[in-house]
Amino acid sequence: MPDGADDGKKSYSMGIDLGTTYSCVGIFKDGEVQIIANDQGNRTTPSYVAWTDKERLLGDAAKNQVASNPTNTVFDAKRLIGRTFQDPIVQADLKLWPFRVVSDGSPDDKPLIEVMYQDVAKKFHPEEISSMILTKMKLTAEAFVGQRVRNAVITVPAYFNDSQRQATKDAGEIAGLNVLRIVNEPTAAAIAYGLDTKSKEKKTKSGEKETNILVFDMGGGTFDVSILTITDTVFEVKATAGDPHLGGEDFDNRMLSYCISEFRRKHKSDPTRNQRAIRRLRTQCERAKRQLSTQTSVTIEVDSLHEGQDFNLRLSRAKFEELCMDYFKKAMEPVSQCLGDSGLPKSQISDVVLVGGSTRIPKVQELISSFFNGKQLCKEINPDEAVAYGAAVQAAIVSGTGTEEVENMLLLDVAPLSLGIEMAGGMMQKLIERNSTIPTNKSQDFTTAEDYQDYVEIKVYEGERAMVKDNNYLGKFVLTGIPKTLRGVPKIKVTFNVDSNGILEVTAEDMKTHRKGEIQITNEKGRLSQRDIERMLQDAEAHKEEDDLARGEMMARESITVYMRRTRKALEDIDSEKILKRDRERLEKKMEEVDLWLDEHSNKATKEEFEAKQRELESAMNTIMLKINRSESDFWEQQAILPENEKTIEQGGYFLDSGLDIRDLIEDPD
Amino acid sequence: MAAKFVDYYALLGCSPSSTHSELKQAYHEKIREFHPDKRPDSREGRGKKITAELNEAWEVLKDSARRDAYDKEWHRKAAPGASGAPGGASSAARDGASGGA
Repeated sequence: MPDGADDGKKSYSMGIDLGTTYSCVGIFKDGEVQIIANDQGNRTTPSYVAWTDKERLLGDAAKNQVASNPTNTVFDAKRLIGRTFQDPIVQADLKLWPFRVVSDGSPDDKPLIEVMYQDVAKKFHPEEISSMILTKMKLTAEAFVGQRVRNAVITVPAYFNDSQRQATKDAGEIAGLNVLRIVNEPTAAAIAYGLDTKSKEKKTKSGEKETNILVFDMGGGTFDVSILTITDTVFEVKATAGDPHLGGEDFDNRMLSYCISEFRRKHKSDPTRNQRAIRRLRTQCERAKRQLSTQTSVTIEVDSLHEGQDFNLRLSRAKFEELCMDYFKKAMEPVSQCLGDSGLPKSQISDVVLVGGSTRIPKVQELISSFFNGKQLCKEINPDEAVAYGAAVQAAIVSGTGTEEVENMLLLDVAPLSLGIEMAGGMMQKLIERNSTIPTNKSQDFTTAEDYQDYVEIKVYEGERAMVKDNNYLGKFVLTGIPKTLRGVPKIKVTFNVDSNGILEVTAEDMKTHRKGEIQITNEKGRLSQRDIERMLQDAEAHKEEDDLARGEMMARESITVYMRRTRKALEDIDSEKILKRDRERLEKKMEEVDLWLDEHSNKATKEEFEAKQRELESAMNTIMLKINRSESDFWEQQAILPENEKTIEQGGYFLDSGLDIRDLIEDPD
Repeated sequence: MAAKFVDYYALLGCSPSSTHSELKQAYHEKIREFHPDKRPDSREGRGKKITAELNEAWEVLKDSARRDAYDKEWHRKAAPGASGAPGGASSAARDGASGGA
C-alpha cells in the first residue's frame, strides 16, 4: 500500500472532474461515493484562480470578485491546455478573455497567462492554473476525510487529444498528486449511470444482459458523445466523438455579443473595451441562459453598465435558441458519427444519458430526442456530479479501495483519434485506428526511401485525414546510424503504444543494428518538460505558504465567529438574576460592534486582527463572567473537549480547537 | 509489413468453432485478469502487454468479416498440423495458469 498506510490508516483515492467552468470532487468512502462540498458549501467549485493585492484566491472566492478584478482573474485554462498560442481556437478565445495571454516565445509557442500580483507581472502555464484548481479540489477532499489525499483520477473530455491529456496529467503532478489514471468524462458518467440502474434493477431482474447506451456530455467548454456497451460489470466504450471546444460558454458569448450590439444600438456607445462592464454583462448572460431552461423569457438587467447607462433587455427562449442554433445543430454531427462508428443502429441504443450543465437546455434535449425518433431521454443522474462520481468509482477500482461490487467493474475505453506517421509524399500512415480499445500496441515495419539513407525522421500525427498536413502534428524523432544500403533494404520497426490514459508513446528500432529511438513528444509540442514540471511543483509549494497564511486567516475568522455564537448562547442560558442588566447590555453592545466590524473586515483582516478582536471580546466576557458566581474556567471548560480520535484543523482534521466541527459551520447548522 | 501471426483463439482459450458470445465472454474473463486496472503492482508490466494483445484479438474476432478472413489464415498457419507456430498464445496461457500477481 502506498500513501497514508504508514500510520495504519486507510488511504483514500479521489476522483476529480476538472471542468472548463466548474470542477467537482468525489471520494469513495464507507461503501459509497460522496460528492464533497467545498468550504462554501457548494458541491461544484468554479474553475477560477485570482490574484488580489494580498493573496491568491481559488474557486468561489475567485469567481465572486471577478467583476472588480477582471484582468487578474483567470478561468478557462482548460481551453488553453495542450494547445499552442497560435492555435486558431486560442486566438479566437483571446479576444473574449479579460486576462492577458502571451506566447512564451519559444519554438514550442506555448501560451502563458499573465497576471499582476503585488505589482509584479507573473506568467503561468495553463497547466499551473489547472494545478491550482486541482489543489483546491484536493483540499476540499482532505477537509472531508480528515487526512491527506494524494491519489487521484482526473477526467478529461473523451475527445481530448494526446497533448491535452499529457498536459492535464502534468497539471496533476504540479499539484503534487499521484495521478492514478486519466479517465474520459463520458465514460465516468456511464459508470454513474451503470451503478444507478444496476442498484434499481437488482430488485426486478438478474442475470447477464447487454445494454447499449449513448452518453451526451455537454458542459461549459467541451462536448463529447460516447457509446458504451454494458455487460454486467464490464463497461466497454464502442466509439467516441466530440468537439473539444463547444459548450455553455459559447452560448454565453453569443448572448453577450447580442447584448453588446443591442447596447450599442440603443446608446450609441461601445462597452467592448470596458472589461468590468463586459464581465458584469457576461455574468448576467450566464444567469439568463440558466433561467431560460425553465422559463420562456427573462430580463437581463445591469445598472450603470457603461458610461452611466443602464442595460435592460427582455430575451425570449426562442431568441436564445435562434442565437445558438448553429451550435446546437453542430452538436448533432458527433452523435451521427459516433453511432456510425459503433456500428449500432439507433434502435439498439436503449438509453440516452444526459450529462453536463448544457444538457438542461430544452432545445438541446429536443434535438437529441428527435434524432432518436422521439425517444425519452435519461435524466436520472445528476448532470453536474456524474463525472466526478464515476471518477471516484474508477479511483476506487484502480486503487483497490472499493467494495466488492465496485472492484468487480472493468472499464474498457478507446483512443478517440487515429494515430500514425508521415510517409513519403505527406501521406498519413495510420498505425492505430480511432476507437481502438486501449491499452493498445501496434507495430509496423518501414524502410528508407532513398539509396544510402542512414537516418530516418519519423513524424507522428493524430487525426483522420489522408494527408498529414490536415492532421494534428504531435512530434518527431530521428533514428540515426542505419547501415548505408539501397533504398527499401533497411527494416525499421515502429511501435505505437497507447496506455490506459490514452497517452501515446512511440518507439522505432532498426531491426539490423537494434538501434532504438524513442519519441520525445514531451519536449516537442505544447508539452512541458520534466524540468518545467519540477520547477512549477516548487513554485506551487512556495505558494502553499501563502495559502497557509490565507488558511490561517480563515481559521481565525471562523474562531471568532464560533466565539460569538457561544457567547450569545451563554448569554441566553445565564439566569437573568445572575447577570446585571447593565453588564448584559454592555456585552450585547460589544457583540454588535464586533458583528459590524466583521461585516466590514471579514474579507480583508489579517489573522492577527481577527485574534485581537477576539481577545477584546473575550476580556469583556471574562470580566462579566468573573462577576457572576460561576468560575470562568468552569464555563469554558467544554471548549477543550474534542470528540474522540478527532483532529483539529491544524492537524489535518475538521475540528476547530474549540471542538466545533467545521462542517457545521460550512453546511447549514440548522 | 505483415506483423507476426498471433493465434487469437489460443490467446482467448477458444477455438474457431466458438460462438461470438463465447468469444466475448472469454475476452471479458481474460481481460479482467490481465487489465492494468486489476494489477496495481505492475501497471506497466506484462498485464498491459497481454491486455493489448487481447484487445487486438477481440477487435478482429468481434467483426464477422474480419473474423472470416482471420479464420482462413488461422487454418493455414495455426490449425493442428499447420506449419506456422502460434505467436503470443503460449505466453498468455502460461500467465493464465500462474494467476494474478
